[in-house]
Amino acid sequence: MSAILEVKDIDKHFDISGSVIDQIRFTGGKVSRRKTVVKAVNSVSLDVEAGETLSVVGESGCGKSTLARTVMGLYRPNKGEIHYRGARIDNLSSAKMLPYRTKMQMVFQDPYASLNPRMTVRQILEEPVRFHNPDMNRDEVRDRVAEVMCQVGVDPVWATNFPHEFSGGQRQRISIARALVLDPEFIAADEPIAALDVSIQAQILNLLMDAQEQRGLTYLFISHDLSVVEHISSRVLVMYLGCVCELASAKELFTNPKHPYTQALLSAIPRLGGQAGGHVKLSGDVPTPINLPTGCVFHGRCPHANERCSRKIPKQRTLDNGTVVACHGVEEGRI
Amino acid sequence: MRTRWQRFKESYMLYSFLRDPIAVTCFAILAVLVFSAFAAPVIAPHDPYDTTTINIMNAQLPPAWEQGGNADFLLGTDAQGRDMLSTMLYGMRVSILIGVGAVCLQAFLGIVVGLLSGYIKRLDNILMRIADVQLSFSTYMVAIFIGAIVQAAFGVAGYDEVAVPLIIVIIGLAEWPQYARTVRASVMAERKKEYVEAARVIGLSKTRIMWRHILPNTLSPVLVISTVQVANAIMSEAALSFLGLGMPVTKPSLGSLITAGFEYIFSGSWWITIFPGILLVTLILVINLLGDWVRDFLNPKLYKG
Amino acid sequence: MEKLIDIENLRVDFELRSGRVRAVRDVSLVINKGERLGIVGESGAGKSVLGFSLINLISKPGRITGGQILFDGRDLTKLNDDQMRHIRGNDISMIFQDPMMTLNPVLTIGTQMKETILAHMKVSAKEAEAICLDKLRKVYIPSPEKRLKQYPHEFSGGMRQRIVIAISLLTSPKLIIADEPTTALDVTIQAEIMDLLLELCEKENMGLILITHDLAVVSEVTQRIAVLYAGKVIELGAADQLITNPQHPYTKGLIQALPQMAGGERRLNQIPGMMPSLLNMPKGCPFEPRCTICSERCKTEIPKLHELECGTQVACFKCEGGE
Repeated sequence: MSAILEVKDIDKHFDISGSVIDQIRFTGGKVSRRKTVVKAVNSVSLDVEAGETLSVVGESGCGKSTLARTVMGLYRPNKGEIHYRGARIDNLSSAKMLPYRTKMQMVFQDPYASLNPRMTVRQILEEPVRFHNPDMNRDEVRDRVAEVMCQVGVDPVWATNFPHEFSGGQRQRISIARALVLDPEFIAADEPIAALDVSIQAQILNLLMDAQEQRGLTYLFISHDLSVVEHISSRVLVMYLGCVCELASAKELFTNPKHPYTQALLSAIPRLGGQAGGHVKLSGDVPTPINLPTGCVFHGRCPHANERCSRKIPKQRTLDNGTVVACHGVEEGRI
Repeated sequence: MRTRWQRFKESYMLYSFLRDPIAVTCFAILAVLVFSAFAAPVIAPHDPYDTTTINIMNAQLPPAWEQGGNADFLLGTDAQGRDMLSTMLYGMRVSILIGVGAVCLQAFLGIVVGLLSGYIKRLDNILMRIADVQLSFSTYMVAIFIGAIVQAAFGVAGYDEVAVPLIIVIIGLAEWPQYARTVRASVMAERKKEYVEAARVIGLSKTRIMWRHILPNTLSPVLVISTVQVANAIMSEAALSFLGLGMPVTKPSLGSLITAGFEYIFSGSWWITIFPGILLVTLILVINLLGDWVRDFLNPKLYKG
Repeated sequence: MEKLIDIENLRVDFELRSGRVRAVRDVSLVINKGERLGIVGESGAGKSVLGFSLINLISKPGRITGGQILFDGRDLTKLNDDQMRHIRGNDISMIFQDPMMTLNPVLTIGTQMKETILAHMKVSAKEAEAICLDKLRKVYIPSPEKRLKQYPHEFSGGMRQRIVIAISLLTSPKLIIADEPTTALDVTIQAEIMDLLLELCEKENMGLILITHDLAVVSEVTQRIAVLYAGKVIELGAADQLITNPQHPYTKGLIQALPQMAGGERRLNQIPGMMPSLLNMPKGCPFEPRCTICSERCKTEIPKLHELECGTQVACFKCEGGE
């Protein structure tokens, strides 16, 4: 299978220093300028194969949402390249990017903020169709919208209602409809079910999986909910503070996690009918992406860190079974 | 599927409006005032602009119920012999025209600047600095300046002709930064929302996103300050006229009426100032109270959806 | 086992413009001293309303309209504001979801903690400070003396929640009500906070009511679980019993819908439909429109909690046996 999306060593940093006046600091009698940079994504490389579901997991501040948005072209990477079906897309102008917009779409987390409150469902769904297909006549557009609404389980008769008249689950269905209406190949889903109730989560997940089967979609699935990720992914990428920790097939990752952070994360998931306690305790607090630790970003909290970990950033290495791990301990055979 | 009218009848806005006695009363009073002002040519007993009907012998007649009053002139006459009631109605029309016109201009300028400033980072600094400069000019200073130039260029008669649009422009230019800042704050908040990101992912252009997506969602605060600004604009015009910088004597507004009558208070003709004064206060009060209701109604913490 | 709090037939109504809505319907629960109870439900089930009503924090348009809450021999629903204030924060403490909402951003931690102590106990400032330091150590906050002078924004999310827990411990309460305490936190921090709560409840012999939507969390931390649906308790039983052997179709559906229970199938087991809006409640069992095993009786009669042999109480005609 060929890779539909290739992400090559990208960085995404946000400069929040502010104006010159905000940057000026008095230290030890001298005036200096201090730059504040949020290093959201650091040297991340990954490939997404056609037809698979690659999940990106990590806790808050790990940069998974930023990664998804950079891949979708909402941010430009500071370094590195992004290729879609072999063609480079991260440096394209908005005009040149248009044909890719029909192939790559996105579903967002917040069902309340992801739909324009002042537009009816019909307007929300017709807009992308009309924009990319100016020659389509009214009836064709209407039919397309009705078809996709049926597919996501929202009765087309409600197309003239406003988003606030629907429940959270229904709004998320409409969001998914908006992503599907252009008939894309690739969908980035940023925590699409995090804001929903448990019984609705199952419905929406089933919807996403059905859509994938029927349309042959490729998903980049961002989530912090590991039990969901375990169920739907083919491969899983674990991130911490913008860096790749481990990338493995779902089965491998959940049965045999290699990176110490993955191990800690998996042990912390509450299990149905399990006992509290007994999880890997990480020392210290999560550092901020503004002042990244030196060397491996996880060394401050890692139970296996040594002196080398605090100096050198570990490179992503591919193991025999295909798992990619960035850890000195694994490389040295200590873990 | 419901029609717009059905939707309005069932809406929460109508429901809460009808339950607030102050809002309903103010709306009723405002409706009466606005109607009488614009129906002035039809309902006013006399035409204060028609110099042929004005008789100087009728000057300074007291209101009809007082001794010496004339039933023809219900609220008395002013120093030139014009009927107070008619002049007040026409004056109110001028005041309302100027108030609404100035706010339209302010809103238009402010929204455009606010949108551009909030959405396009590079323009933000320079546009906001222009707004700051604008704010540091006092309205009265600007009025004197522009008034003097126009009078010098077109003469007094010419000034009279363009007085209404001129004052609209002056007050409009004085207060647009207020709108710009409000809209800018809204735009910056909306810009981060996911439906804007979704629009970008679809590939829509910046302009289209600004006008079609962000602008409709920033209009609530605009509506709230607009009601207050109308009242402010009417007051500003009244103040300008009071200082002699606004409407000329021949085309009086409520403010200039108050000015004109001021000199006569102590000579006993109190009605020339007091009646326009009461009308002005009432007009501004009902607009402000309605504005309060709009603000409370649109308060995001109280209003759901 | 000594009874700590005895809730009997509690009813909470909300007067909305569209009508009167009953958010909590005839809920009866007993929590014993030192016992940990989990209240599980989805949004709209009424679990937060139930939690708030226990310490009378329901404000207009909500009101407690029926039932009683017996605590320490007194009915909390009958107490006036002043009497309630002595119990709130003193005998019963509450932990909310978002620590940034609980902590005042413009006051130091020390000020907020001492304020709580001085509101309920007659001690000197020095003694108050000693109590604060003691509780901060109990929640494993390093260098507590320095921390007292810091502001909430200087702490991370997990630390803030620990501080909130410390504040709730200041008056050595008999019962802690925790409303979704870890929903806003990351998984690893959640695990630590839950461990901490468990440890504290065991050490100090405090009762705990844990309100959440996360079944996995309650199954690890609590001893008994009450499942709430549309304002009613539809199942109540020992935690391990309820998870391994759920009786009510809703509980079954909820557990089956979890990805862990898909059992190798691609599609997850979903419960069709949605929780009914409280304005439009079905006449009989609230779960009937979505239930796969319902009968005619379920459409017209509301089932009451009925104790089964295994000890679990269920509100379902089918489960009562032989229906």
